[in-house]
Amino acid sequence: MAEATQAAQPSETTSQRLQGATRKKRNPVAKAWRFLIIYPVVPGIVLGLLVIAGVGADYLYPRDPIKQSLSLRALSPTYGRASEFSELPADHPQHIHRYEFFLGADPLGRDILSRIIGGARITLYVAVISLGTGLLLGASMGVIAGYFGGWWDEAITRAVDMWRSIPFILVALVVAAFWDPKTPWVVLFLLSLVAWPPFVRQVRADALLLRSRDFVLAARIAGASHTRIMVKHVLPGTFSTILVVASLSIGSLILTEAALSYLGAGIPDPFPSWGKSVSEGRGYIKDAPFIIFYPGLALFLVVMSFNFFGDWLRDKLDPRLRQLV
Amino acid sequence: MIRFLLRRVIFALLTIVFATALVFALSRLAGDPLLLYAKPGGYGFTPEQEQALREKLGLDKPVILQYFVWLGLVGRGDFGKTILDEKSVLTVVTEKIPASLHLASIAWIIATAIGIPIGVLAAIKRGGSWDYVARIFALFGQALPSFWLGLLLIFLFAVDLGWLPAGTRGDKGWADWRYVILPAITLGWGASASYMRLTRSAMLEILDSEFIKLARAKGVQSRTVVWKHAFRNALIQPLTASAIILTSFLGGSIIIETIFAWPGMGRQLITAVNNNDFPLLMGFVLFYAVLYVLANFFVDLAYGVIDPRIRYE
Repeated sequence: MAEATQAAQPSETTSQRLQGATRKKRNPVAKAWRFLIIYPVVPGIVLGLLVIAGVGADYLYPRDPIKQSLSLRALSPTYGRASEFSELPADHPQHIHRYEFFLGADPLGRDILSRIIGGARITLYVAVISLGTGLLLGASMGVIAGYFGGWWDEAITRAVDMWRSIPFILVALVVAAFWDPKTPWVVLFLLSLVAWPPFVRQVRADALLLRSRDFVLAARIAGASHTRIMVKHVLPGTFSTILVVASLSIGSLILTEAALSYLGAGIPDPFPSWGKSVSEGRGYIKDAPFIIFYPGLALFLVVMSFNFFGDWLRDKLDPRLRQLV
Repeated sequence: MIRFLLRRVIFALLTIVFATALVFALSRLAGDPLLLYAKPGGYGFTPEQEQALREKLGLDKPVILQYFVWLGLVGRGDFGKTILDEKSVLTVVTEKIPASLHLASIAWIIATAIGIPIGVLAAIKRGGSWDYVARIFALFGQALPSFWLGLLLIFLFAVDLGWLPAGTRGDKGWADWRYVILPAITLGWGASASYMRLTRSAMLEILDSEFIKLARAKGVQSRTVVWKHAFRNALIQPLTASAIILTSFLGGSIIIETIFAWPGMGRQLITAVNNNDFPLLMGFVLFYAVLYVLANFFVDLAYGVIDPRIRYE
């Protein structure tokens, strides 16, 4: 009797130990940290702010982002504190509100926070327009190459290879530097030219697998046209790949826009752009480092969030794509 | 193999022609290079002189014909003269190569010295603290805008602490090692993250393979397994990627050379763009296109040499 209970007990403790091993006890701080690492909470907040700032920019500007005040050049950030200017009566020409120049003024006396908010809109344009155009072009070419195979595949793959070996920053510099009239559309168009090749490769690989699947053959037998099969049967199967590639390539696209704007070949004046703001402040780095610091920080946080989000999405949707850098 | 080589060479030539034609057309569409000399109708600039100048520069012909004239001259080794000071394009480009190569090689050393060890550590201690370090490192490396990083480094080390010079290359070339540190870190930073990721994924794949398990089962020391068996095999990918990364250094240093006033090709290129100095611009485009094509070609071949399982049809 005693022996029997003794024999039963160890097996119980073993199973308990096994359970304990799978569910390790963690303190709340470690739990919170793990949650932050696993789920894109911080990136979600940053990207949410980006969308809010980009969409509602017109209502959020503390001050007109284009308005110059040469007497306030490189004004230090107020961080919402009262200053000698905000103490002045409201009708005084030098009066500024407490929340104006929250992050200081740039070398032309423009409000840096307002220009960061305005830059968020440009960044959103890059994400939506340039990436969107590249996505449509790349995905449709990928589906065509993968579905038809043969000559189509060869031509499209070679075109992608050729396109990738063009030093693109050079082309962009040449075009953007000389194109008249100066509009932001030139850069957005150029960026969409850089955006499409990654889509072709991955979508093509998917389409190649899908085209020999039974449901595609069945559709073919039922008399569906090639266009219909590609749009209705093949394309939906590549959606998760498209999503992952999009979220992974958006960061570098935003960085390219910023780099071009930094070199003076990107978003033209007077539109604000983070890359341009950093470029404008480089001569003031000694006395007013905040001019380059905050726009660059915004850029860094947004790109990092997109990358983190992209990594997370890839692990969720399609771990096969891990090779993608 | 011969067929493969032939196809690659033809394809490489096509790429170069396509890239140069694109830039040629775009730079012509963008503006009249003659404006760099003098505005037509300006003081003392007669229409006859303008016409003579156009003929001298070959600008009187249609754009397509101009391109083929340029291509023909290049085929015979004549790259033309710069518009601005009538120097030989070949000299201007080649005399900037050493400075750019200097920066690129130091940046490459920094990138591999940081990226590869962290990648190996992250793979060995998968899921551990080194893996987190590596992951954060990769996120930072890919998200930091190089121009921002460069300016922050200047602010910290040159302006605030005064340890290192903020720009230029110094007068003594390689001997002035203090000048190269900041630009090389800025340039190599992003690449070290790529190296880290490549090394990590290659190491993980190899550590999971049968021959590693066999070596471990035989009782080979853990250190020997990691460094002798796994690491040497895992190096293939990062090493072949080096060709691409090095060329991207040479090309991508445009921004870094501008920030640090580094007298290399990137800065010269920006000047050429701003002046619409098309012969010089075309020289650079040709140089970069050839470099890119060669690097891709080299990578394809290197894969076959290092890993005999890859065959070319």
